[in-house]
Amino acid sequence: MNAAAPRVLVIDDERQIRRFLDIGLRAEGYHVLEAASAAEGLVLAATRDPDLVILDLGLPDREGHEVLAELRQWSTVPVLVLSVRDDEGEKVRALDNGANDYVTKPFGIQELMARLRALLRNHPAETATDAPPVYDDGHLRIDRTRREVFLEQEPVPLTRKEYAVLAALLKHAGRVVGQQQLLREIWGPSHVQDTHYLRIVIGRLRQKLDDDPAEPQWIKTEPGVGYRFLEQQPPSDLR
Amino acid sequence: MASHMINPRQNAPRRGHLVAVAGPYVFATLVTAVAFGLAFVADRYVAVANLSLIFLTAVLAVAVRARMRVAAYAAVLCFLGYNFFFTPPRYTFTIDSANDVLTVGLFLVVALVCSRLATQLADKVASLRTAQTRALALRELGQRLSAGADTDTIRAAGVECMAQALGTNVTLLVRDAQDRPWNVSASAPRAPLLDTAERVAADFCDRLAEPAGYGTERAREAACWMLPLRVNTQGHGVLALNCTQGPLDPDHQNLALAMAQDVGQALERARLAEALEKARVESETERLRNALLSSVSHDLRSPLASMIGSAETLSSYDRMLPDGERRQLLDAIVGEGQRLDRYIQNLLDMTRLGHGELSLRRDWVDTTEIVIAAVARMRRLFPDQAVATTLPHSTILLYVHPALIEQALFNILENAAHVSPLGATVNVRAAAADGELRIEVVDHGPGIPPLERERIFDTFYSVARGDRGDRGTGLGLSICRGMVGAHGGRVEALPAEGGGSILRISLPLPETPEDEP
Repeated sequence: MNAAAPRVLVIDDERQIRRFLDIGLRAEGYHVLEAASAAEGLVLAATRDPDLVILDLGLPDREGHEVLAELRQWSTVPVLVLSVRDDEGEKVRALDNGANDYVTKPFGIQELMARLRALLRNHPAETATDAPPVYDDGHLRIDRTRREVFLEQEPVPLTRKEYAVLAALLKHAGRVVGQQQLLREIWGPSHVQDTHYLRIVIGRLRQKLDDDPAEPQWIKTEPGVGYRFLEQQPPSDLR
Repeated sequence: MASHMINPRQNAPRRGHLVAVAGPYVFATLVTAVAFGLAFVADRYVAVANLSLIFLTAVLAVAVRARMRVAAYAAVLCFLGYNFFFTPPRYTFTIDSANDVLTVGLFLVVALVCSRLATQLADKVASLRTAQTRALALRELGQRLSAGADTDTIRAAGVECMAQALGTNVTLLVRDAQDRPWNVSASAPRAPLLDTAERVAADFCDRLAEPAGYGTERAREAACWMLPLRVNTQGHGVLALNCTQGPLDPDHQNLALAMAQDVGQALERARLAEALEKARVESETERLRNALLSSVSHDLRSPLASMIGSAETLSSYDRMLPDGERRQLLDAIVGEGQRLDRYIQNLLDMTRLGHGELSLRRDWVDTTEIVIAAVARMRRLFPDQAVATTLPHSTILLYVHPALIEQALFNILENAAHVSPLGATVNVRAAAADGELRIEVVDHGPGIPPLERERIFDTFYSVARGDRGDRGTGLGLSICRGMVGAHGGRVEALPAEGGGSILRISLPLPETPEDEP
C-alpha cells in the first residue's frame, strides 16, 4: 500500500454500499477506512486522520447531520455526503452544517470519483492563506486583485453583484456553493430567501460569459441546492 | 294536520285564556261607550236619525278588529243604547214615531250586515298575511337548505330558519342508533336544557314517526313539542320546539310541520348524495389499488428478474464467457437498476399525489434550468436519442417546486423517447405566451388518436396499458399531469405537424418580482 495514498473514510451502515465503494476506491488508488456506525466513524475520523470522509446521512445510531456537526467542531476534513434523491432540503442542510459536497443515491461510481478528486484537489488551496490571485484557463481570465474579467482577451463588463457571485463561486471552485450562502454573503442575511435575485444575476453572468447552461463551461447549476464553478484545465502551451 | 296538537284550552284552561276570551268584549264595550259620548255631544246639533252614523262607525271599528260575535255584541249594545237614550221618549225602550222605529230597526240590520262583511274582510286579510308569512318562511328555508352542501350545514340552516319563523327555541336531536342517547346536533337561538321528559318524548316521536311531547297525548309533560324528521323509513332525528312560552297557534303548527318536512327531505337528499359519493370513491380507490398492485408486481419484478438473472449468469459462468458478453450482462444490470429506480420514483410520486400529501416547496427558478436538467437526465438514460432544445434568450423566472416540474417534464421526455422511431429527433421548446410559460415536447412517433389524447393522462389508462415491455412509461404521464396541476398548470396532448404529437406543459407565470437591489 502506497503510504502517500489519500485515506478515505466511508461511514455507511449498508454493507453492500461499503463493499462496492471499497472495491472502487481501492481500484482508484485510495486507502479505504470503513465504519458501519456514527460512533465508529467519529472514532476513526479522530484517530486515523483521513484526507476525506464519505458520510451517509441515514445512519442507525445517530443522525448524519449531528455527526457532521460534531466532526466540524474539531476537523476541516472535506466531507462528501450521500443523500437521498429529491430532498434538496436535506442537501442544503448538510451544506449548511459544513459538508463540502454531496452525491444523490443511487449514484454512479464515476460521478463519485470526480467529486472526490475535486474535493482533494481544492482542499489544500482553501487552507492556504490566499488563493492564486488570477484564474486563467486560456479562455476565461479572472483577475481577483484588480477585479477584472476577460473572455477571449476581451474585457467583460460585470456589475458588482455579478462579479461578487462569480468570485464567490471561484473561491470554492469545483465544489457546490449553496444558494443561501451566496445570498447571505452577497445580498445580506435578510435576503437569503430572495432566490430570484440570484437567478437573474446567474442568467446575466452566463450571457456575458457566453456560457451555455445546457453544457456549461464554468457555471453549473446544482438544482435546488446551488451552483458550482467548473475549473477548466488551461491548455498545456499556456502553462 | 292541525289536529296533531290538542288545543290546551280544552284540558288546561288558564288565566291567560280568560283574558284572551274576554278582551275583545271589553274592547267592544269601550268603543261603544266612546260612541255614546260622541252621540251625546252630537245630539245637541243634529237630528236623532243622523246619530246612527256614529254608532255604525263604532260597530265597524269593532268588526275589523274582532270576531263576528263581538261585532254583533257591539251592534246590539248600540241598538239598545240608541233606543234607550236618544229616541223619544228618552230613557225608555219604547219608540213613539214610526220614523224612529224605522231608523233604529234599519240601524240594527245595517250594523249586523256591515260587521259581518268587515269581519270577513279582516279574516281574509289576516289569512292572506299568514299565508304570505308561511310562504316566505318556507321559501327562505328552501333557499338555505339547497345552499347547504353537507348534513351539518343543512341541520344548522334548518334549525335557524325554523326558530326565526316560529319565534321559539328550536333544537335538532340526533342519535347514532336506536339504543344510543340523544345528542343536540344543532339549536337556535340558544342551546336548550333537556331532561328526561324531553328524551322520552323524542323517543316516542322517533319510534312512532309522529309528533310527541308538549300538547300531544304522548309524553305530554315535556316542555317541547317533538316533530319527527323521517323520510320514507329513514330517520334523520327529531326537532324539539320549545313551548314553555305557551303553545304554538294552529298556523304556526302547520308551518312547523311543513318546515320539518322540508328539512327532513333536504337531509335525506344529502344522505343519498354522500352515500353515492362514498361508494364512488371506494370503488375508484379499489380500482386504483388493484391497478397499482399489478403494476408493482410487473414493473418492479421484470427489471429485478433481469438483474438477478444477469448477475447469476456472471457468477456461474464468469471465466467461460467472452469479454463482450460479460460486458453486456454488466450493462444490463446497471440499466435495469436505473429502470427500477425510475419506477420506484414514479410509485412514490403517485402515492404522494394520491394522498394529497404533495407539499409544494416553491422557489424561484429559471425555466432554462428546469428544461436543461430534465433533458440532461434523458440524455443519460437514452444516449442514442437525439434531442434539440429551443430556449428563451432571456431569463424567464417561474415560482414552482423545481424538482416536481423537472420530474413532470422528464416523464414527458421519457415518453417521447419511447415513441420516437430510431434516428428521429425529439424537440423541446420553451416560451412565454399569453401570461403563461409553455414547454412543448415534439416527437415524430405514431401520434395519438384524438380520442386518446385525454386518456393518456388517466391513471387507469396508463396502468391498464402497463409497462408494455420496456417501452411504456407506466404512470409517467398521469403523474406529470398531477404535478403540473398541483402548480395550477395544465398538460395536454396536441397533434404535431407531419405526424407525431406535441405534449405541452402550461404553467402560470408569476408576477415578475422587483429587480435586484
